[in-house]
Formats: sequence, structure tokens, C-alpha cells
Amino acid sequence: MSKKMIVLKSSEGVSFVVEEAVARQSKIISFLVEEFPDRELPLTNMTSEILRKTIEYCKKHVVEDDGGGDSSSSSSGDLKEWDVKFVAEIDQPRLMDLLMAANYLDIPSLLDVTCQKVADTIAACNDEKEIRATFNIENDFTEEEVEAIRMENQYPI
Amino acid sequence: MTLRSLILEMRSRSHRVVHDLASAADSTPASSESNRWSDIPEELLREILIRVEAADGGGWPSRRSVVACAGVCRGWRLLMNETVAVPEISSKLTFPISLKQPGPRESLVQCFIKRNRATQSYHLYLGFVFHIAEDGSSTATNPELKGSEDALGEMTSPRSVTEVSRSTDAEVLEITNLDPRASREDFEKESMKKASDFFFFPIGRDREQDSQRRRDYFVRRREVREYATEA
Repeated sequence: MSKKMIVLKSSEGVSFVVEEAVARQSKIISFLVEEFPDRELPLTNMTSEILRKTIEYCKKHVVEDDGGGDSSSSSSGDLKEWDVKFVAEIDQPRLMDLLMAANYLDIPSLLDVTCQKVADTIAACNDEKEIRATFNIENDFTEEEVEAIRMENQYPI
Repeated sequence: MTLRSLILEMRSRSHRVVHDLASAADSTPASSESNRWSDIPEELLREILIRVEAADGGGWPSRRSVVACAGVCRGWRLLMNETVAVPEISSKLTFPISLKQPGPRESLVQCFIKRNRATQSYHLYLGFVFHIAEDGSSTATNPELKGSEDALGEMTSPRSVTEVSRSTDAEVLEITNLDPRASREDFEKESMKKASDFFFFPIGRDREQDSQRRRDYFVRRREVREYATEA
């Protein structure tokens, strides 16, 4: 594949020049590149920081996909490890942004690792109070509902 | 922003640049707002909760994360209740209320008490079968299940039937604080106190159905008593 470059523009108006093969991991960008060749793509709901992270992920994955021919099993293991490190370094609000970006740009593997990271964070919480505190979610149950749930969640023996 | 709006925007790009920059200024502070997780789109939260549910694979009562998620807020509760499959399919007991409420008499899952002579302890069983032999093998003596393998097969695959039976064996609740030397009368009194609250009940939002189950409760309670007397 020829190294065609495309331009992605973040919400702050910062342009990112990426190889087409890298950007095409997003199904949406893939589609847009065909619809609007030689145009820069405005991603107005994505900050530069998140767009940079997303591109970093895509770059890593496109390299591994290309070069992993001879030792595919070990390289896919390395890639998994890299993914884990990648999401571990992201704080809570950024993780949400990255999750939204993966969903919006339609990058299934990035969506998977970010969702998994959130699921792991939830699993590490001891109870619903800790989950609410971690994700800053408002408790919108009425007192009666809270009592009903408490009764339901009591173990009989 | 949807794909459609993005395409429209691309088509009218030259007119929109100023607006884009303005909306960018609006959206940037939003990313640092800490309560954005409550605004997460439903389909993404569902993706996450499915993963929590799948990972929280331990048998009852260790499904802590799932139960916790269902208690976070209304949205989470609704999604989690949709995600968790009923025990007949998942062979997992998730919500403790499953053990507290009377199940319908015709329910596939039955509850009964059995004494293990070897360990001198009493067990509460929950499963597709209504009798477990001393050697641990199970026979379907529930009249509704007898000779109705075909009907059963329609509802769940044979494999999941086996799994439920097996997990039933593995997940018995031992009534350890019962003195095995107690008289039958004492045992009955004690076990009834505990077992009366021990029924399968998939968490329900149907109030009418719930009240029917509560009416069935007394019938079921008598049946358990009779079975305990025979055991």
C-alpha cells in the first residue's frame, strides 16, 4: 500500500497527519476517506489529547498487523500486554473520552480494551457506593427503593 | 455527533469553521467534568456491564460486582437486570432475593432439603432435580420433569441442564449450625425457619406475578416440609 497521508483535525483545530493505513482502522474514517478524498477530516468532538491517544493506539496496532507474520503468536501476546499498559496509564475522565472516541470512530479493538478496563475498575469496587464514588454517579433511587434493594440483597442464611 | 452530521458538515465545511471552533471551546471543559460517567450512552454502558457480568463468573454468593452494579442507580439497575440471565439458562444465582422468595410451583428450578448421612449435615438444594441420591447421583423425581425431557430440551439445551444440576451439587448451602443429633422435630422447626425463606425467584419487575408467587409461597412451604419429613 502506498503511504498516503490523511489529515485529522481535533476540536482545538490541531491537525494530525497520519498514514492512511493507520487511520483506516477506524471504520468511520475509512468510509470518510473514500467519500471525501484529499480533505482534512474534522473531528470536532475529540480533543487533541484524545485524538493523539487514539492515533497512538492505531499506529501500534497497524505496525503489529503488518510485521507480525513470522511470529504472530508472540507478537499478539506482546500487543495484548501493550494494550493493558496503554489503558492503565489513562485516568478516569480520559478513559471515558477514549471510550467515546473508540465508539464514535468505530474502532472495535480499542472499544474492547477500554470497555474491559472500565469493567475491571467496576469489579475492583466492593459495593455500589464505591462504584458511585469512583465514577461520580448520582444515586437516583428513592429511599423506599434503596430499602427494597437492601432487602433484596440480603442473604437469607 | 453522528456520522450523518459529520458528512453534512464535510459538505458545508467552509461555512462551519467558526462554529466548529466555538463548539470546541464548549466541549473542552466538559471532558474534565467529573460526573460525565452518568451521561455515558446506554449502548456503551451495556458493553461494559456485559463484561462485568461475564467476568464475575463465580457461583453464588460471589456475584458481588453484578449485585453492586445493579444498586448503583436506576439506569444501571435496568441494564444489569437485562444482562443477567435467569438461572435456568446461566446456571448462576445472582441476586440474593432468588433464594428468599417463593418460586412458582411449576418452576423448572425446585428447592428441597436433604440430609447427608456421611457428614451428618443438612443441605438445601436448588436445581432441576427433586432428589439427590446418597452417592450424589441425581434423579428427576419432580413429576413435572419426569418423562418430559423433550419439553425441557426445548427450553434449555441438554448441556445447560447438566450444568445446572452439577452446579447445584457444588453450590449446596450447608445448614452447618444445625445440630445433626437434634430430634427430627427440632430439625424441622429449625430448617423450616431457614428453608421457608429459601426459594428460587428470578428478580422480577412484574408486581402481579410477584404477588402470585407470594401466594404460592405457603403451598411450597408445606411441600418442603413434607419432603423434609420423608428424607
